[in-house]
Amino acid sequence: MDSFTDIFANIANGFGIAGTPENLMYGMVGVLLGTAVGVLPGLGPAVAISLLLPITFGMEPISAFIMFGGIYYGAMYGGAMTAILVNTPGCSSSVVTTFDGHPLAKKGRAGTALLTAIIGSFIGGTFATLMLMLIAPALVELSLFFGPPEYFSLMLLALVLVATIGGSSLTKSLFSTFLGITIAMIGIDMQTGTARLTFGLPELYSGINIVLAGIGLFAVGESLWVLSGQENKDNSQFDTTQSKLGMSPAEWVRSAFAWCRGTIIGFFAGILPGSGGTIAAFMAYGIEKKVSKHPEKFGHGAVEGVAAPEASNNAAAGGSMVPLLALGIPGSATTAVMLVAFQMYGLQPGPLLFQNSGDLVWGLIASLYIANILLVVINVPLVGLWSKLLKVPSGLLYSSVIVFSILGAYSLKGSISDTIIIFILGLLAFTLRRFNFPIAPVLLGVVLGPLIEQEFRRSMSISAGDFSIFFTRPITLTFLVIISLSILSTVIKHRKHQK
Amino acid sequence: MSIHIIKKCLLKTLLSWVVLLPVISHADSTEQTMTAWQPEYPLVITVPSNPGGGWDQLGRFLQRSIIQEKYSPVSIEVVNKGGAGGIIALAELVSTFNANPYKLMVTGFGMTGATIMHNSEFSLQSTTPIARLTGEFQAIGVPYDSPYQTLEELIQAFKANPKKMIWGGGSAGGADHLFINLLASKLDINPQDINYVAFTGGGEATAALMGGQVSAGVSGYSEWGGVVDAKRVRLLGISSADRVVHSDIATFTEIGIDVVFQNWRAIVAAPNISEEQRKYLIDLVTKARNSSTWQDIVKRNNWQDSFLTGDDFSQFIVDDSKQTQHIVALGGLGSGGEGYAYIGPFFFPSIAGGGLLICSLLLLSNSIKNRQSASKVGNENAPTTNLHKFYLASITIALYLLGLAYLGFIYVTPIFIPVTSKILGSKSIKRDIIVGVILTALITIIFEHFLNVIVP
Repeated sequence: MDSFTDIFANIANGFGIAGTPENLMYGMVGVLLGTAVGVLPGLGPAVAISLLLPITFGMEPISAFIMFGGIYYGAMYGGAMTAILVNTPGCSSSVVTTFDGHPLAKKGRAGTALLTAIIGSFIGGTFATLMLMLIAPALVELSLFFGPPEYFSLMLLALVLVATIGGSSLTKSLFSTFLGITIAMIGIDMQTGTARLTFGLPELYSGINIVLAGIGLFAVGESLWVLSGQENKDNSQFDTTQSKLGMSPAEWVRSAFAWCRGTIIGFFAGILPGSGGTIAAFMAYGIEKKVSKHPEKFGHGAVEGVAAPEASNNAAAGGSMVPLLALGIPGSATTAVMLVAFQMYGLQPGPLLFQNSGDLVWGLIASLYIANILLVVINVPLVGLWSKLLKVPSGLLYSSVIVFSILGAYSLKGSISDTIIIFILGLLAFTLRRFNFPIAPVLLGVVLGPLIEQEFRRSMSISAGDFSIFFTRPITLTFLVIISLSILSTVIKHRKHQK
Repeated sequence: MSIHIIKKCLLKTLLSWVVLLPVISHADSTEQTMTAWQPEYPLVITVPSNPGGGWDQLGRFLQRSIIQEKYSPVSIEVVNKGGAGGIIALAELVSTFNANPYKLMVTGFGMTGATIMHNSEFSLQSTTPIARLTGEFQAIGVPYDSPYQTLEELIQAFKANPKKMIWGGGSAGGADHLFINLLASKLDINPQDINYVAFTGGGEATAALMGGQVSAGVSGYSEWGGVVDAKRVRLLGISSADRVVHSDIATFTEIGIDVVFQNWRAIVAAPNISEEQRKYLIDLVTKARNSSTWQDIVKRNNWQDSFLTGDDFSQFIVDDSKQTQHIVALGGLGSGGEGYAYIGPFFFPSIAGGGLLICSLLLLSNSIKNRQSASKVGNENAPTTNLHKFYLASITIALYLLGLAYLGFIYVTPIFIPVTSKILGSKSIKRDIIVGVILTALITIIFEHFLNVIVP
């Protein structure tokens, strides 16, 4: 118990450090800025933080980190906002939010979707911070048990759980998934340095990453879809005047369960280096659909379909702080930039950080709580305002989406070829949609394909080509058994359905 | 090219007049004793990798030193342009920014390796070398309770059974990987027998090492960070000639293996800049390197100050390229070489391709069946009549991209927005044009000044 009283004394101290009016202001700026970059496709929290680094040179470290925390959490929410309102996710981790968020918005319940997203983000972020404070070192030890075979089976499980979310036809979903995996294989292979599927074009060497795929398939694809008049997106059909903020009691209950499940999944996905928010959101959605009593409502505006992934991606953001602070290992692009920031202030994250710069760590943890609260305080009053975005004439709205998408893709590396890639992906998404192929599995393939491949090949290298590595490790074996059961149950259901 | 530069400069002066004015006037008073050439627009340091990591650190720390010590009359910007081990940024510097004195690029050993492995048509020798700034020795670490407690034990085990020694490090072709190849060649180990597992970054490799997934890890000395002090990882060997970095870590030379290796990082400029411009940039970087800010940074990050400039640095690039070529050739790396990875690079693409094929066949057979039974009518929600709008929209976007590449963002966007809007049946063109112009101005200002992204 001693350690717990210590923790509370420390965190009280942390709040004292982080809670000054000046720091609160920086936190607020961070949340607003984060929300803004989250809204813009292609610009994520990693980019925003690295751009702000030079500005923070003269600042107190704690002020800078409270701002970075705000940006990280704000961006996760900002991405959800456009996902719900315009069906164009601002960052890849909010792609899943479009599945049910946008249908809700179409029903005139944009406010509800945004509200459940904010509360989910808050719960996810706060829980992750709490865990970070209480049991970070123990969790890190746990995550070290995860070697390549464990990652491989976990990613495969994620793929199997989620591969069927896209639509009615299993074959079409599979086709889309394989297409995504193929797209992800483009570029230089990490294990051997061989260029694959690049057709000799150096522009393709760096491959098509999640960000480009997210912008191309979803933002550009959706704009093309609307611009081609495939969907009669007359804005009057959005019932914005009656957009109620509230949810029915039943929906509150359903959301509450979804928030909790999403939070836990997201947090654990966040702790594992290299996994992250997008996978967390996909898995949370997949599991939510599996446990739901009415899976048929998913994709047509189920509240928990927004609640779970949103809680999940913010929890993953918090979770990725655990290996960063406890070991100095960045688990995501954003924490990699934060590591540079730490080093710029002469701090070395790792097991000794808590001892050497206790004030800063506890201040940082306190600032993460504060950033979360600010997220709610700032964004809840704005929900009504954002819902009005739908009143912008669709021509202007979607042409702006295209402009922002192209700029977003350009800003990644400053190359025109990336803008061409997203345009081609947009055309691909359009074609797929026209022939009733689901698009979400394509992105899933892009996200999970390379992870599954790399982890599989790493496992095989470690075992020197012996397949038994997958059956002799308890965690891996458990995952593989769940995968087999899951596939079996799907097949049986399918059979019954056909008869 | 020159038109492009003039246009960009014009735009910059127009937009950033207010921001730059104080800086420029300040510069006039202090910089009169310098060489004849003076930069008038912001200098841009390109980091050829994504944010985070060694090159990014070098670029940002250099930026910090120059800004902190107020050495430059103009602002210094850092832009990330990652991909293909830096080849993308190199190609841009050499071809697009030829003779442009405002473009600097961070580079290092990894880029030499990447250009050789991928037979890039550009090489570091086509750039204007400015200065080599830092060097970092490769350090080999094992889990703290590993059976190998000294470098000799580890090397003996590696020699005895190379396949059983699993190395973890950064991606193939990088400094970590090439270093292990170099080590193996000195030990007369067949490169095909090296068991090297590539991880996305130093962090993931470290996690795998601590979890006992790999037997030994290789990484830059500074990247090991806090896990060594916390007694989670034991560093056994370092690639320096003598124990300069840490008195407890053995070197390879002292146990009789002739391996000295430094992962150097440097700054280069665009090719064909004038001698004056080159001199100015070398002076600027030299001043930054001599500053106390930079010296602090080097010390804090455990880097080696391996400052080298002028013709010596040019010669170094040539020599280093030869040595690297040798290492790459030893390992049989690069294009087409499947090497020692147990599962080759084309295994998964084949699976994905096979999956695609099977699914398409299934879909095809289904659709034939459906057509025969004529029970189902597919695609009822695909109104064919509207497809011309799709072509129209696609062509507009394609033209827009073309315009972006050859004219520039500020010219084509105000046209693009109303045109696209019109496709969707917007009736008030005047409003659309106004919105387009305002939006373009707003985006340009926000992206260039607040987000530091220079619009095309």
